[in-house]
Amino acid sequence: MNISVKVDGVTKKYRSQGGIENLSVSFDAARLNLLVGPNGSGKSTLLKCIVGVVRYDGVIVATPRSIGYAPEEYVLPQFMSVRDFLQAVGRVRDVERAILTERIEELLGYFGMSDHAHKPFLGLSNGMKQKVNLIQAVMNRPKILLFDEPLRALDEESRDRATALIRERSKESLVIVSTHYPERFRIRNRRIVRLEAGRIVDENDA
Amino acid sequence: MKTMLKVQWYYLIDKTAAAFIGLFAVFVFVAIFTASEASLGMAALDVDRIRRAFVYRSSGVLAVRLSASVLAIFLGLHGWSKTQRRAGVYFIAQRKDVFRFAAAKAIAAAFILVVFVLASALFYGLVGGYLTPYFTLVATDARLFADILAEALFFLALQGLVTTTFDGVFAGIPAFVLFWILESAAPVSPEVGIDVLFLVVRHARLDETGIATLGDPRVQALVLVALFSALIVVFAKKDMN
Repeated sequence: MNISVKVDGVTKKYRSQGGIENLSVSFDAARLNLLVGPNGSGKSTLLKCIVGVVRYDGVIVATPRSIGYAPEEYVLPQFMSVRDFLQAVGRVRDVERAILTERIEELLGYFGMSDHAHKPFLGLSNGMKQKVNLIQAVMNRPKILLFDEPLRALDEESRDRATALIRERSKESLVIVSTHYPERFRIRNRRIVRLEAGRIVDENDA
Repeated sequence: MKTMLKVQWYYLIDKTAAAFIGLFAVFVFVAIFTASEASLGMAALDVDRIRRAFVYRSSGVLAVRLSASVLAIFLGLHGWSKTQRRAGVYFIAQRKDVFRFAAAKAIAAAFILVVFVLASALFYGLVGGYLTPYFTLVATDARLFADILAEALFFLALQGLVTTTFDGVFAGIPAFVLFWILESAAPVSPEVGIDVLFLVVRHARLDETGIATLGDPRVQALVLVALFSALIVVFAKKDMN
């Protein structure tokens, strides 16, 4: 199956600042796509446009329309348990209950979160919340995966686990990662797209 | 839809919302108990029964109406804030999900108000019925609480719409001003200009002649439906993150 994301002349401006302007770029599967650039360069905005959580001008075609997204800014329900939340996200995405339960437990174990699965988010650290944010993105095995600053708030060991997971998923899915730390994602088959002031200023395979 | 409702319920009731709801519940319970004058004892309350019943009814209803409407405005500010909209990124995979997500939020918030008003009505009935000799629950009471709920739902939809349209700390001002106007204006013969408000907003209060409510309930119901529909449509058009 051909997995691709084609962005054609997309503009998204915010009242305050930032955003992207008349941006065109294509992403293919089987390699790790990294978005880099200074704060406000438009990395997060580009990801939001691809997911479709913001309105924009231009055309984006994501094939197939099976997207997992771990946003940089997120809100989790304080009194809901980690397991219930992940179950709810999976149910809304029509993942079969038995498969969902198996994947959730597997991923919670991978991130060392099994003992915290029954706890509400209120008492969890930012690092633990970030792990849940990552788990919800990958648990239904989407063909396109978008991560916005996925290493934020994670400790060293968790960063290693997160990057290993992302590298692994990039072999079978189309993965785009927005990051300030491209050196963390050293992999033979990667592509770096540099943005500045809402435009692409450099693209290279490294 | 069941999952979406559960999620929205949990998103709406966070630490701040739980504190607000608890605070209002305590206020209502204390106000109803105080209005009953139950601490005086049954014998002392057995004189001047008609006046005492009127005071209990009007004071109790006033306390519940104030609390329910302010709680509704709070829920409209809190539940439809930009921060809360971010939850959409987890639960909206397709376009149709936006409407389900928005509708579930409105239903969950309305349910909180229904529970709040029902719990208040139950407490009002129990205190009046068991702790005083003068009070008997009548159809008027049921209608008063139904009107309180209708008014609270109006403020919920209005505030949700304003918050979604104009993000910011001042989004609560229009609803609070309207609420203040409705509370301070006389419902039986309001001033010209203000009287139109009573035609579209259900607002009942007890006076010497019984319940004084202006406006056609069918028009008021239509306004409510239109507000909630607008809320869902406007929400669906906004950025989620």
